[in-house]
Amino acid sequence: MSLWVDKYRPKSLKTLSHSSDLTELLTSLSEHPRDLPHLLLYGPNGSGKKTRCMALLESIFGPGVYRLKIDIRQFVTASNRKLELNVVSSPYHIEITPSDMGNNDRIVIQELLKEIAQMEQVDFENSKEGLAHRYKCVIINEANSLSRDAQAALRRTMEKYSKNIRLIMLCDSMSSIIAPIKSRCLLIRCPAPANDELVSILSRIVTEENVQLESGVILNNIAKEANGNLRVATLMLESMALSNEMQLKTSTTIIKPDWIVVVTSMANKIQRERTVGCLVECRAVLYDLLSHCIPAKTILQELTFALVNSPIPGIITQNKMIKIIDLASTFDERLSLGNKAIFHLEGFIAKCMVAIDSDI
Amino acid sequence: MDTQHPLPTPSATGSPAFQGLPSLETLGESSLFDFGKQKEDTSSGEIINQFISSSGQTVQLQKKKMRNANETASGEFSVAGAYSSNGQEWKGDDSYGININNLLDAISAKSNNDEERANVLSSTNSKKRPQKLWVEKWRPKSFIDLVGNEKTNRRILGWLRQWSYAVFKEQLPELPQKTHNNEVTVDMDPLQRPNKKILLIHGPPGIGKTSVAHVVTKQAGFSVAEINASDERAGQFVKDKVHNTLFNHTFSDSPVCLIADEIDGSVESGFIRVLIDIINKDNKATNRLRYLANTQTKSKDKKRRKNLLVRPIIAICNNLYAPALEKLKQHCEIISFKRPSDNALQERLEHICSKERLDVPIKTINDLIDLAQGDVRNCINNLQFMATNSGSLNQISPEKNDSSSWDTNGKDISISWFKLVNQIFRKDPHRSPKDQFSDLLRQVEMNGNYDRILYGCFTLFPSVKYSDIGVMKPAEISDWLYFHDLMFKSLFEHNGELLRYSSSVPLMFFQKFGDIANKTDLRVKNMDFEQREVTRANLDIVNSICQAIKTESPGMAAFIHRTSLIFEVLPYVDYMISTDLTKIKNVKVKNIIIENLLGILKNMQLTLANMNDDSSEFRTVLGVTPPIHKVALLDQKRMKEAMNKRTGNFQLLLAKSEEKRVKKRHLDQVLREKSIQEDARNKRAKVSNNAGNTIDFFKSQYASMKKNSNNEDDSRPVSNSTKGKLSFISANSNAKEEGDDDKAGHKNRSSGENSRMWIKYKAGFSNAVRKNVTWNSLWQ
Repeated sequence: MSLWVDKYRPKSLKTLSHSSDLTELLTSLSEHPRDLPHLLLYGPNGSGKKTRCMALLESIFGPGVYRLKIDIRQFVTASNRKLELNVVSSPYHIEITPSDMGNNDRIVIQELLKEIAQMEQVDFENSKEGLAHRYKCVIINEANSLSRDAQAALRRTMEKYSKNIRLIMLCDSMSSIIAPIKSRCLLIRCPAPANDELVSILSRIVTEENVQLESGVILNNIAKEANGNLRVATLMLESMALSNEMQLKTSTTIIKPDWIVVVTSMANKIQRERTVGCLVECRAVLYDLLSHCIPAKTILQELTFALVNSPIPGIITQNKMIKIIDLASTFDERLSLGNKAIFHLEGFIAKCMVAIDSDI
Repeated sequence: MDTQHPLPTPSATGSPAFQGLPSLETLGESSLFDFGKQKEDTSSGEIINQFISSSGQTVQLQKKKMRNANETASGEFSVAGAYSSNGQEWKGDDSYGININNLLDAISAKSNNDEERANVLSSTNSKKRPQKLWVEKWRPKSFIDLVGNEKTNRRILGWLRQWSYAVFKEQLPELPQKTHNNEVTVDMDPLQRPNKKILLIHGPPGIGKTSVAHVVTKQAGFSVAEINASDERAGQFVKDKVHNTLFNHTFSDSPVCLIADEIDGSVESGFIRVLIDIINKDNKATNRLRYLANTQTKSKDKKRRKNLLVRPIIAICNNLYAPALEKLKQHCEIISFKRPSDNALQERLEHICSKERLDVPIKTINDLIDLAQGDVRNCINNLQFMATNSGSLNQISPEKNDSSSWDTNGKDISISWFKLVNQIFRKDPHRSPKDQFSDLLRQVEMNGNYDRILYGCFTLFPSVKYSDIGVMKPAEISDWLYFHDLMFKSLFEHNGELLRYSSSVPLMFFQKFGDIANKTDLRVKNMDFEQREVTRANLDIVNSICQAIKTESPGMAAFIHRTSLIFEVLPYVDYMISTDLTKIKNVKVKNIIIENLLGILKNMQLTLANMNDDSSEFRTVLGVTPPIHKVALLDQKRMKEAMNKRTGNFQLLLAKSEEKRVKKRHLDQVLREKSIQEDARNKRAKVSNNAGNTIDFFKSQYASMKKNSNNEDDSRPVSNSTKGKLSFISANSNAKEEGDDDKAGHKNRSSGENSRMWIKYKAGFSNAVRKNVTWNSLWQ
């Protein structure tokens, strides 16, 4: 018994539910496991990159890939400082998350990959395709947060040890992946499920879990709110079902995460009144959001969309909308270049207030 | 210089001045006021001993050893010489045969002479060799030279005196208050050392902490071993050094007192660890000693005694709250130093001036004191600077030193950043904006703490008064804040060379938000710091959840990630567990939901436990640990709602989970009993028909094996279908195999209609040598 997200996660390529083209591609890849290239899976949050990746591995190596265990590895940095890192691994693959390592990802990548790459995998007798796992797979989560140095360190390793090692990188956007890496990988885009795909997945869960449904509209609404994020959609469905006695009516309110609710209400406040007092309130909210580990960029993004999709008609004209988007991109840049998120978030709000007040 | 016998302290003995004095007889005859010697002394900057007697006059003492210098300077001793000859004549007046009045006259006369001579000397000397820093020259040499803090000084001395028994084997006079609680002797240190073994002196710079420590230790008869920031203080080095000074005996007679200066730096953690280590070891050793003393057994274990700390340690720092000191503080007797009073400082400065033949008006001295804000060192430095600055003549003309020129002469006294922030928002109507602007610029640059100032400005600007259309000004200032951000970032990238441009940003605040209407000082609340702290705490919570899931159920580890936890999973999980269970009427649905919830809690490795309520200190509330609501919940209203609603929920959930656990335990127990019975029956059966049917035997064997595996995992229902499939064991197995039954483990499984049989037989007594034996070899 676990969250429905985990419960209904497909475990093999055959059970993958949406984007059948992609599934076909992966199946064809798995049919010739010896020729598996390095992969770079990219796509929005909750589109099933990891699920696909694991399903692909499963089809190559068998169900053993889900026998995961955690090792604690030690690394020594150049300054002789010891790092400890938890590495998730199965007999056939190993996982790395760069954000766990902070600034030292280069060392970890180098040492870990070399160690794996220099070991020949010998036990081929248990797999269905004898020579299939001559190589070991290395999954790099959030590859977009790999530092430049680490990516550079990957380049040579990917070529030199390609006999023993296959990389599967997962990332939200490819913009921070350097070109040499891109050219060495097969790029696979994982699209977010379309709304009707989402609905069909949700309805399958609904029947499995015996949730009573008043009409299909509610699933449509959930799919719409989830915005193509399957994980959010499933979580939303579960929390709604549990808090409404397993009965979903069309009138059932859709549950959103708190932080989104707060950002939306802040956007509404900005549209209603544009004073210094409002700015002070916004600042308090911003501090609160930041202290709840919501990254500044995410706040900016959500806030921008909430402002643009104004519930009050007539306030945001076409021109103002363009202005707000323009401001958002400016401040996004500032957030990247600077360190002090609160300055820029509040600056964005102040500028937006001015923009809304102006008559363009 | 030869070592001097420690002088008794003024507090311990009644008349400090005369205790240290040699008898007046010798005074008279020995021509103590030896000018030749004095000359040497002033040139080397040493003053042997100097007391202020009860009449307020300064008396200088020198050692006997200098007597041999008498002959060299003879001409000026006529006064002193006259005394020795005339001494007898006033016998009637004085028991020592010397007229004290005459003596005092002579002293004053001598000191006049002395000054003149010093004057001549200094004028000649100054050309010959570089002048010594006055700060060093006038560093207090004895207890009475100390300026201000008399009470604390005495406390330090008192603390050091407590070591006397341990160090000098000298019995202290019983203090009067000690008799009151004599019964608490258990707490007494066996060596009668003070309770806290380290003395920690803290206070602002330049008020003589180091000097006091040195003077007092000398006064108490210790020799000083100083370790300060200039010394290597990393790990082993300092450990060796400290141990050498503390535990080894020195060649000189006087025992060592360790003075650890400037211990509040950021790199001192190694040093502090060494100190704490010593204290801990000492505590252990002391306890053992106490124990041995109580049990009346003699210990001759020298090695154990070695850990005992028998030398005092004095630590000095500026900032008591430096993070490095956190752990040390509890072991320390903490003494805080205050600035000396202006009067005491003035007295001291005047004394120095008179000694240095400087004619400084009182007003200038007071100005100096005001400027330095109690910093004695700074005062003396400035004084010297003045003296050299005002020409070769030791005269400072008062008109030259009016207070405006002092401003530039004095050290840059920066005002604290929050005062500055308040000043930025205050426009003075009586001054031209240009003046005020340049003044502020100077202040800001002098302060240099641009980031702090800017955060202050940023926090305050919405609450100050200013004129604006809409929020134009905040919008404009955001560009400047970005500018500051970029400039400040250079601190980490280009060695901070762009940092100086940051000073323009607070001035921009002044331009935009400075207003005459802002009069009162506003408090700057450090929101940023708080936010960072909370963020860190929340991140820790998320990480701990991540970690728990990863270690407990590695299968999930691949799909759990921090960002997705924060953004999506935790908020929804929080919603799920705050479902209002009491409203649900349908029992069946309720049970399903509860089952679901328990599963989720288990899966996320969340536990229900009593926690302290945030709103009241005494009430405990049932909550989830790790507290995911702290991460997931933002809305104040919903937070309150959820917290109220949830507790009832949690009670129910907890009860259910307990119930489940009890049930499971019961089930386990029943199953275990069953299996034991089964085993017993099997054995009996085996014994009864040992030579019986092999097929029966295998069947029972398999059945018991099956049962065992079921017992191990009770969640899996006993499947009858597999039992049915276990149709028969091939009659192939023969008597030969049966003989091996007892030592070899057989694993039989038949699957489907094929009725295949696997027999695994391993020969050997341990895993290391055990190997598979093939069926064929058994048959042969």
